[in-house]
Amino acid sequence: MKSAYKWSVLALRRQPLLPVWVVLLLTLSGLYSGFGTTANFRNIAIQASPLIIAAVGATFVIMTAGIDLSVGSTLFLAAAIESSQALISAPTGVVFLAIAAAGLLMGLLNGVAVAMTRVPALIVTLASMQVFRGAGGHITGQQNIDLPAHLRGIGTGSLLGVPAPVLLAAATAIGGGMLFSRTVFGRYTQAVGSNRAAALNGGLPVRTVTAGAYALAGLLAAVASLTQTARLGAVQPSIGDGYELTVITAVVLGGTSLFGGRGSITGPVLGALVLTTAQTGLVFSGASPYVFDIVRGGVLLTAVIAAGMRWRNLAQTLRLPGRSSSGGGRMISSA
Amino acid sequence: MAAITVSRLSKSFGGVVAVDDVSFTVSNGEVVALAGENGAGKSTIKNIIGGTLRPDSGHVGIGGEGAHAGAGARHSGVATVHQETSLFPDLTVAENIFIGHLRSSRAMTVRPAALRRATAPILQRVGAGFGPDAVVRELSAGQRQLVEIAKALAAEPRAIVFDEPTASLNLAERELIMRIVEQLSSDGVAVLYITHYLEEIFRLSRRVVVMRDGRLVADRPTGELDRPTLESLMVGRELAQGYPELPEPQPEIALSVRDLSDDSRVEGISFDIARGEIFGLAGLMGSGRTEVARAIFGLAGRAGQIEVAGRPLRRGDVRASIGAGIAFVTEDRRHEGLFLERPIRESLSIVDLDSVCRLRPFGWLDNTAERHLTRELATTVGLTARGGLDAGGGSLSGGNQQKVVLAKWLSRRPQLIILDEPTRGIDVGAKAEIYRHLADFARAGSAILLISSEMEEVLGLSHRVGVMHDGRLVGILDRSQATQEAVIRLATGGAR
Repeated sequence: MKSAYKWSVLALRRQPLLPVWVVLLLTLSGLYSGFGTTANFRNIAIQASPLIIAAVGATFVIMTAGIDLSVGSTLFLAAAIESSQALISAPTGVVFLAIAAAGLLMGLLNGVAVAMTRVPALIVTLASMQVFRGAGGHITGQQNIDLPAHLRGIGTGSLLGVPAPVLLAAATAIGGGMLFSRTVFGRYTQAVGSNRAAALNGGLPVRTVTAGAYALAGLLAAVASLTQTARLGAVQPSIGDGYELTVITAVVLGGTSLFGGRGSITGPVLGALVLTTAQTGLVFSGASPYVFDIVRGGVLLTAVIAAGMRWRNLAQTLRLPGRSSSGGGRMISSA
Repeated sequence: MAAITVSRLSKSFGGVVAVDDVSFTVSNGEVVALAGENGAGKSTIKNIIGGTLRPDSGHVGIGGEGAHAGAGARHSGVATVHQETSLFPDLTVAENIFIGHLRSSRAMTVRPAALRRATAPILQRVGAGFGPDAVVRELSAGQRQLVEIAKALAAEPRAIVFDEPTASLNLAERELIMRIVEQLSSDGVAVLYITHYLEEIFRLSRRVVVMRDGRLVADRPTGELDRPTLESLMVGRELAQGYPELPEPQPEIALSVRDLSDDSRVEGISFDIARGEIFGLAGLMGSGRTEVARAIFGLAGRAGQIEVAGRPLRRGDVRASIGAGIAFVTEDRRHEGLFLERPIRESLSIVDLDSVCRLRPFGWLDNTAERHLTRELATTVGLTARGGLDAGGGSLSGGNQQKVVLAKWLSRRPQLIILDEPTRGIDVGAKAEIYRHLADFARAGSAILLISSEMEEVLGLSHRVGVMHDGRLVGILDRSQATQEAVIRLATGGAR
């Protein structure tokens, strides 16, 4: 009994978002008939999938104390390339590889620019955000382009009853999680974000790691694009519009510090699920789609403020057993 | 008359008692030193007197007036000179000094001429060699400290608290600060002086208040104390005397430096270090010691030749330097050495992750091997981490942080360990441990390049001492020749 309590306290500490999500699901299920159904939960999972995939990628970038504003535009340019004459009738595997490669390249452009110049990531990706969206618009001529059935399969197919997007998201989360916490690359990413000077003094390949993080984010944004367009059945000019904000909010909501060095992969996955659940709840309530923008903005600010509060203070307030490992947030510098 | 009266102060932070029932006084014209190891509670006392913290109980009286409970201390006549300067680098000296009082000028406008007029006499009082219009960014560390003191004086305080005012200053600058403190005290100002440098305590103070674990353990006239007594009061036990015995250097040359330059500050640097030898690098602040270290490690410069164990080193490439067996313990452990918000374990293993890897091309980490490695490293340097190695690096004391940035290199069995100010800001107990480790590393065959502003440390630990002046290595002294006087003569540009 006592160990179960201890375990749950530990789980809560590690992932305070989990109970938030459960409460949100229960509340919405109680409020709206039809919300608490298997079909709806399945729908939430499918909708959350591209967000999870993109958020896992963005986490690596934010862990290096960087930011990628071009996620939404990468999504769109990847979709535009998918809808181009050369690819639209190619086999699924070829399209998948080509789009993944395109995303990797876009991310690498960001990454090399950030790693090799002193231009802040915010500016680099603000620029590439415009470049990618412009290029996408140029390719599609801002038209809706319907996708053939085999490409829609990435969004509508399923394996053993599990929808394809959910499988992709799960694979990304698990693979990303292992890369993050069990490999040298993951460790280096966290080190670079935590203390760049110390990483340089330790002889870490700081530039390669930085470029790699952005390349990974680009790759995963492209995979997110494939699932998103497949689900919609078409490439639309509005794809990925404002998506970077949702992605960053999911990552920050998941407890990743915007100043780098602190975060996890489960956090952003849960963040994406919470955001998508809230969005679905808003649809059920009949609110206008713009209300989601308001909610998202509020959530972002709240999450950043909460992250700035020292864990110790929070633990004291909640009367949880103290943990000495926080070392203090960087937002509120220690005296 | 007592200018500062501290009576029965207590303060806790989340259950941890920082200050426990402390009382003492500082009279007008008196310099009282506040001594103690890191974490003894000195900063808490300083912050309560300075008015930035409220005590849980007890009170502070200033100038014999009624007690104040914390806030608003500046207006009641106490000023604080902080360890790290809190100046605005892009404003002028005058603007910095009066930044807190700018609003009182009429119609909310700043009148530069009036500012300048008010600043000039204060600058004169601290013996500053710069004017009110100098921009702070262009001043040296010592000059900035003078601005900080001038800022404190501008409020015409009856009492001043100095918190480690000389921590980042060179000898000449330290001398200047100490003279100002003496002048202030003869002007009748009460001074509470916090420092790690015991020689400053003996030179300046009339009384010493010693704190340990939040409690006052001694309040005695300085004249009654000697150095070992004061140290043992601070640490609470007898310290191992002095410096460890140095091992005999081996005949093989570990590091050979010829005509080294960092392409900006230093040039023409040539010296050798043998295996098992500790080579001290002395010099004033800004003489180029750190630049030499950074150039050897590959962080700057390409001119000149370096050989490690007889093999030429590729210049300007940190990874090549590390590969050749060089370890660099930076002077700024918090900002350049540690991952404060990451587990301590990660700071320890970061430079040797390859050794705890399986499936090397994929870089798959073996957690068990990493735990084993880091536990071993922590034991080697006697790291005391209360929260274990999974706690954040920021939770460690300064001395233990220093042990971490030192220990992380050890598993690579470095040929050469470069240490830049390895004992800055750490307490006497931790210092003694670091000294012992250095001797042990030398005994194990590493060459050691030791940079320190603490003359005694360099002389006590080095087989030979190189002295830097103005970007050049002006002399190398054997242990027998290396006296304080000889080093200072060379460091200040004098002949040998």
